[in-house]
Amino acid sequence: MSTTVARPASPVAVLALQYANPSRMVSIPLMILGAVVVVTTGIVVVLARSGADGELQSNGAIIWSLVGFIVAIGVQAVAVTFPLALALGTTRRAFTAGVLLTAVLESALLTGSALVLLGLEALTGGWFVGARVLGDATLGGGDARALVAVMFLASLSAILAGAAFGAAWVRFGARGPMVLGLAIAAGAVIALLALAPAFGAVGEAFEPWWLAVAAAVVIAASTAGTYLLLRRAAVR
Amino acid sequence: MTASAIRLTGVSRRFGRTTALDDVTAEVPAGVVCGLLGRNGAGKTTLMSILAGHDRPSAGTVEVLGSDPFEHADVMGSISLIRDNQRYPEDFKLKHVLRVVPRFHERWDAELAAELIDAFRLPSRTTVKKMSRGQQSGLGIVIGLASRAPLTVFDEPYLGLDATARRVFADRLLAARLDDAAARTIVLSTHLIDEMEQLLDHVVVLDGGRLVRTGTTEEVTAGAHSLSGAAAAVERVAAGRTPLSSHRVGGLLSLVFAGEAPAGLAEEAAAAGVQVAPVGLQELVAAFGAGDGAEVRAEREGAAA
Repeated sequence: MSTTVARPASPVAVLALQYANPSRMVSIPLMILGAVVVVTTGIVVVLARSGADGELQSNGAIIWSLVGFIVAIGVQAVAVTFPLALALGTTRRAFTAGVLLTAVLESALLTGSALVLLGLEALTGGWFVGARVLGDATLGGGDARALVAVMFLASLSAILAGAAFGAAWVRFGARGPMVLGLAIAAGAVIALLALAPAFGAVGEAFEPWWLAVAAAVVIAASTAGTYLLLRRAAVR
Repeated sequence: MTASAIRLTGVSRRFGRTTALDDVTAEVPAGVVCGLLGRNGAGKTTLMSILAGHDRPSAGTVEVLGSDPFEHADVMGSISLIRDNQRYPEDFKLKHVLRVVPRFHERWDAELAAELIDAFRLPSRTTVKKMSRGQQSGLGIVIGLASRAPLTVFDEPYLGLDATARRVFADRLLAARLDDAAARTIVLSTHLIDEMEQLLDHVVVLDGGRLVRTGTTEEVTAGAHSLSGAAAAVERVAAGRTPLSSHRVGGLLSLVFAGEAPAGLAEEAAAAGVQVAPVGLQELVAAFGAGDGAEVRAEREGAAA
């Protein structure tokens, strides 16, 4: 009598696990985007009625309102689903690949939605009051290609950084994210101290594509970190 | 010759200074229902975690379906282990679980899942987190049985289940064994040993992280006997032998011994008014768990000598 093995669980199955309940992954991020448009437009109207300059060229509302939620999506994508994924026979490698797929899909969803809203913003002349929410300077000042690059890379970086913190929690419990956060902060401080004498020169030489490279580094480091942390993580 | 679904060689697992598993060597044949038995803290859940590739041993080797399960995609994809305290995403309801699980288990039996959900009366509108203890156990049973995973592991599947639900589980487990005997091995831990004994083909008994017995259920229960009767008479008949456990109620004493009853014991006991009887699985497991482990170690060393 022999027992045959079954088909291995795939990263696509992990993706399906993440999106099994679409409200957290689809509805809420879209509602946040919509709410930012409404609130920012309202502020523009208030400023206009008070006689102040209503053009909020670089308020960064979209970025700042979404970043916390996006990081939380990343944390939950690992911390909440890892035990169930393993219970259903997933390897850590397939799980990490599934989280990466999830981050890419979620970033594409946010970017696509932002692009649609940018189009609507242009069509309505800034939501009928001259507001620039998606045409914000931090998102490319109305340049669709720049918005796609910024939204996609920022979302992907934030989700995967959150995933790495989630993996630290799975691996080490509450100490994990704290130590990881302190280590990153210490690294950043050391890097800033080292670069401090050259701040002026760096500022003058700065090119926007440097941010893309920085995002790529965050994405690669977070994905590798997530896998390495989960590789040793036990579910008990 | 029967192939082994599980082969453990010298498996130990330590967490800091705590040894959860200590040098466990055992084999479980393919196509059986295997009971993983022992007291709380005996190492059952740790062993199940290692079998499912959720954890790795500190020492020793593990083979499940022919390979080390840890990060082995084919083997891990062939295992279902739903824990007694299985965590689900907080917003998950029954429909979300049912939407996801078939993507992980290619042999998922949706008809059986629907039948079990009805039998366990699992609520559809309640999040899994808010289900009762028994309903969560029922959900774990649905996932495990309907997965038809080649190695299905149940961690305390009976927790919180009412009598009707326990009967449903026992019936479906028996059906699964008959339907899938050529392809499915089921490992389960339970404390309701009397209720499960008839379903167990094979048992692995742990105490304090050490393996104390393994084999077919018949082999294991045949390897022990008890003496019971008036305390003074029992002590006289048992003189010089170390029991696995003793249980005294008033003037009555019951002793459980490892090994078959020695020749002549039945006659000596009958003359003294002492009863010699085979030991049921539950009584034997309770006996192994009754002491501080010293008797077990002595018995093991004696058997090895």
